[in-house]
Amino acid sequence: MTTLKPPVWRGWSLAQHHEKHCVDEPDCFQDVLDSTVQVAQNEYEIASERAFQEAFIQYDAKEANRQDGGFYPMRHYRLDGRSLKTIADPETSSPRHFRSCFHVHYGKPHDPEELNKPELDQVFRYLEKLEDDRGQDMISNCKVQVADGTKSLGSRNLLQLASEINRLNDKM
Amino acid sequence: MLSPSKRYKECIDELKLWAPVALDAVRLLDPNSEPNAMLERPAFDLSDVGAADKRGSGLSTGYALRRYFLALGQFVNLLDVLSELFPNRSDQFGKDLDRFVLRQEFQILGDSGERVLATLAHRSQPGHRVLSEMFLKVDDLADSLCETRRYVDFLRGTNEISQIPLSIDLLLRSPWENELRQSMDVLEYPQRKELADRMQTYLSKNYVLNSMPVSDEHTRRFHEVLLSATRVPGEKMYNIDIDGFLDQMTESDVSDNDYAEIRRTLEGLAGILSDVPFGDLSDVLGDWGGMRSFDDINIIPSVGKKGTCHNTLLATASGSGASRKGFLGIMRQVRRHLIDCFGRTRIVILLTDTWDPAKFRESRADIEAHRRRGVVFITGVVSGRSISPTPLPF
Repeated sequence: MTTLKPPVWRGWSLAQHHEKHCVDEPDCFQDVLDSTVQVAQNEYEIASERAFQEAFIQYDAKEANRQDGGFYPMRHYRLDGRSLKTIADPETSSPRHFRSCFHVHYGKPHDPEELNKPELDQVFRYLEKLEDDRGQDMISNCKVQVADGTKSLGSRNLLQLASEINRLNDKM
Repeated sequence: MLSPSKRYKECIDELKLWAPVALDAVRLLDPNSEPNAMLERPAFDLSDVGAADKRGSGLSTGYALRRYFLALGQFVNLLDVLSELFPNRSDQFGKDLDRFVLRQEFQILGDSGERVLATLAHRSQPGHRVLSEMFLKVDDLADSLCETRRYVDFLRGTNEISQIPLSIDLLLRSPWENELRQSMDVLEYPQRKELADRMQTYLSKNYVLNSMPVSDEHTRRFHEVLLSATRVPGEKMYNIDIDGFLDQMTESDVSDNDYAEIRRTLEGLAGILSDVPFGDLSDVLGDWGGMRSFDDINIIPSVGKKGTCHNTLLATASGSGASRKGFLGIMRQVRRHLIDCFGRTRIVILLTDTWDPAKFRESRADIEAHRRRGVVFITGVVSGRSISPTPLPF
């Protein structure tokens, strides 16, 4: 589960993604980070690094490019208990960069109420979404694993998560 | 598309995972608590907790119950379809279902259990937000349709336990349903086609089928809303020229019963092809055997044991190669079958999406020998959504 080589942001990419996720639509990240003011670029950077380190699940996959069609190259994906999704180059890449970090809304407008749900409920909800994506052939080469954030879970919650991941991997 | 047996196993696996959690969660419920409070409490006993569980981050009772009812509803809906397709397996289906229905456990909770289910159904509704903003993109609309499918299956699961009709009535003929339909209607053709392709793949994998509605009226009506997403206005369904196929038998020594059997088989095929792409046909038809419309004929390719020799053999080839489904592979299986069932199989229906007269070379001598002994070959080519009779090239 330990990541040997954590990804880093390239300056221009960080600025671009901060603009998109924290300036164009400021409410979402303010809610996620429980901030009363617009989230600054360095806060977004720290938040993405923390989301990566404390993620509950991780997987390498080719996900569909929903804007332009086709599939993105193989990437490394993680999701934490607040539904913050980080996308990075695969572990074997050198140099290894962050590609994005955003809050998952499931195609709906941001709803701060979703953040009040238990972390594990949010992670399971995301696994449902992966299952739906697989059902539409919108993801391929996907193998999900538990990540370091699950260390704080009790054994039954962890076992349920691991079993659900196994079930999903069998279907992938 | 998954074979029926694989989809069946998927549903059982999901129930095996969520039924024990739901059982534990139900046993921990306090009937005197308010329903929302019951649903928000942790699903697991807090005697074995981690730091995240202490923060209230572990699985909630509401989520665990929703997943259980979703898994149960999926299974019930699947059994509706499979019981129609494979009536000889209905008893086994019923026994497998009974293993997972927690009816007594909920009945112990009495009215309190009903209130919990009604609250859970309300909280799980996909349509409780204003939708107009959502449906600007195919992606969002597809996500929403998938979420709706899960909700409809969840409600079907609660119907196995609850005495009161739950809120599927709120969805049917609701602004939510209208908006779903309207959103699909205003999509431009390329987006409509993309949505149709994605939903066709998704719904067929989940065995929500055009040709096989579920028995529950509410579920069936909402499945119809979902299935309408798979159809592009103006695009035809599969068209099989059945009379043209029957004409191929006119010179042969066949009975009225033979004509009736071939017609029934081809009509059954047309129904299945509204849900299953031709290339995946054998995964469905050749899986368990005993499938209605095809229960008295032999199917190639088939994964199970060959079983009894029947009067009619249906062989479907996809691609040209020697693989299990490819034309050369299929022809080898057909030749083997006609040897094993010599004197019993008298009619062979062969459909292929690759028509290459040269590929018949290795089978020609056998086919001509069988013809001399009265075996009738009815052959056709699949092209796009049309299946046309095409006589053998010799």
